[in-house]
Amino acid sequence: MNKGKKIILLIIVLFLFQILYANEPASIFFYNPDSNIENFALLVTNFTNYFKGNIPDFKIQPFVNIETLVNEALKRNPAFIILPYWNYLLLLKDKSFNPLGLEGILTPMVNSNVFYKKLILIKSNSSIKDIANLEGKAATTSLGLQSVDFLNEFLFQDKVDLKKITFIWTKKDMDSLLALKFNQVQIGIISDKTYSETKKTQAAMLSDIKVLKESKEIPEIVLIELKNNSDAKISTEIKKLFLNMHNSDDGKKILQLLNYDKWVEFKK
Amino acid sequence: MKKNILILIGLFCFTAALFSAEKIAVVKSASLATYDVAIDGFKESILMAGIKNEIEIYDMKGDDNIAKEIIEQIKNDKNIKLIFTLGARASDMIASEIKDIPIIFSYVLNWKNYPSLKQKNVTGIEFEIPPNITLTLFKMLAPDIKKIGIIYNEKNSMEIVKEITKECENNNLILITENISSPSKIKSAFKNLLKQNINAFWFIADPILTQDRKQFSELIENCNKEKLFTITVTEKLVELFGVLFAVAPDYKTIGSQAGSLVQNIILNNKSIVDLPVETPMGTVNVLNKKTSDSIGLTINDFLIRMFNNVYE
Repeated sequence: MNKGKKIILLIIVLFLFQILYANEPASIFFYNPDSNIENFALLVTNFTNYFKGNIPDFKIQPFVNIETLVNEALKRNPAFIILPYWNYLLLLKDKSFNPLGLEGILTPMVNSNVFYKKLILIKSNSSIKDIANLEGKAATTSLGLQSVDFLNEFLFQDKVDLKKITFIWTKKDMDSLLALKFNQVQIGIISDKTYSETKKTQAAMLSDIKVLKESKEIPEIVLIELKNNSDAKISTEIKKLFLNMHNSDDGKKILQLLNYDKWVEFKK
Repeated sequence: MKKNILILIGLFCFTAALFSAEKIAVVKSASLATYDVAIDGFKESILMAGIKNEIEIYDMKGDDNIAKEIIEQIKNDKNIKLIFTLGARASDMIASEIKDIPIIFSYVLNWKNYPSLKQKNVTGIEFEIPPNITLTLFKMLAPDIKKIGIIYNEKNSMEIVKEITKECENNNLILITENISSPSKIKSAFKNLLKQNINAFWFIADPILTQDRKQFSELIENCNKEKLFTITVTEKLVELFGVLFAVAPDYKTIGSQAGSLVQNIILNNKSIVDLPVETPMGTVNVLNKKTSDSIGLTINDFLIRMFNNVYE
C-alpha cells in the first residue's frame, strides 16, 4: 500500500472512530446530587423502557460528579444534559460550552412548585443559636466541589466564612441526617424534600433535630438542550416525551424515582 | 542583562520552592480502585477547604519491599507534613516507622488490634459502620424486627457484639447471641436461635461464619427459608448469597472525612491528639429484591431512592 492510500485509510479509521465513540447525540447526561438517587441502574432502566417506544436509541447516562460530566460532555457531544440550576448557570459562563448552544428547556415540578430549599439542621439541644455560630463546626452535605459558592448564594449569604466550616461530603441526605443524629457532626445540610419525606415516613429520625435556617428558593434541575449537538426533530420528540411523562406508567416510574410530579417549560 | 535574567529565574525558583514546600503524602497499600475513590474524595475535600499543599501519591502495590522503599523516601523528604494512609499494610507499616508526622489512617478493619495506630501522632477513620447507624437503617427497612439473632466467636467479635447488644437495648430490641468455637456448630447454634423465636439475623464480619463456605451458604438459605430479615456488612453477600440488606461504608466519604481532619490540622491548627478516630459517615445501602419479595417486605419510594444497588 502506498503512502497516500495509508493516509486515506487512517483518515477513514479516525472518522469511523469519531462516529462510533466520540459523538453521542442520542444521550442525556444526568447529574443531580440533590436527587438522592443511588440506584442509577434503575434510573437507566426506567428511562430506557420509557424511550423505547418512540426513540429506541436514546439513553440516559448518570454521573456521580460534575467534573466528569463536563469532561465527557465536551468529548462525546450529548444532545441533552440534566443538571442542577446552579451548575447550569456555571456552564453558561463556561467558554468551552458557548459554541454548543446551551439552552434550558424544561424543569420538573413538585406540588405545583418549581423550586426547592436547602435546610441547615442542628440537634435540638445544640448551643448553636444562629448561623454566625457555625464557624469552627463540621457539616455534612451531598453537594460537591462546585457547591461552596452555591451554598453561599442561596443559604449562607455571606454571613459565615465558609472556609471556617469543615464540610464532609456524603452521597445522600440520609447519611447527613444519621451523622447529625449520632453526633458525628454538628450541622447537616439537606433538601426540604428529604426533610418532609423523613418527617412523614420516619418521624423518629427527626425527634431530636431542628431546622436552624431555610435557604432562599432554589430552582429545580433543568433539562438543557445542546442545540448544536441535536436536531429539530429529536428536540421536539424529547420535549414531548418529557412533558407527557406523567401520563404513562413507564413515565410515572421515572418521576417517582426522581421524586417529581411532572415536567414543565423552563422559564428563564 | 543575562546575569539579571538568571538572578530573576533563580529568585522565581526559590520562591516557588518555598511556597510548594509542604506536602501531603497519600500512601496506598495496593493498587485498588476502591482506594482511588477515597483519594478523589480526599482531594475534593481539601480543595474545597482551600488547602494548596502538594499531594504526593505512593503505592505499596501489596509488596513489603516496595513498602520499605516508600517509608525511606517519606522519612528522607523533610517537606512531608502529613500522611494519609489507605489499607492495613500502609497504615500499620507507616505508623510503626514514623512517629513525628501526623498520620491519618483509613480502610483498616479492627484498627484497635494495631498498637501502632494508637500512637499520639495517629488518628483516622474506622472502616466499620457503627451499629447504631446500621440498626437505624435496618429498622427503617424492616420496622417489624423484634428479636435479632447473631452467631459469633468471642475471640473474634466480643467487642462488636457488646456494642450491638447496647444498641439493641437502646432501641427496645432483643438480641439473642450464640457463641461458637467452630464452623461445624453453626447449624445447632441456628436451631437454638430459632427456638427463641428470632425474626431477624445479623451476619457480623466474623471469620467463624465464613470459614466453611458450605455451612455459611446453608445458614443463609435457612434464614431465608425461615423468612428472617437478614442484614450484613458486605454487598457481595446480598448479591451472591441472597442476604436481604447490607450497610457498608462509602469510600468517597471516607476520603472526605480524612480531608476534613487535614483541614483541622493544617488550617485550624488543631493538634492530632485532639482529633479522635472517627466512625464512617457515609453508607452504601444494598437490597436483594428477590429476598424482600419472598419475605413479603413492602418497600416505599423513599427507601427505594436510598439504595445504591438493588439486586433482582
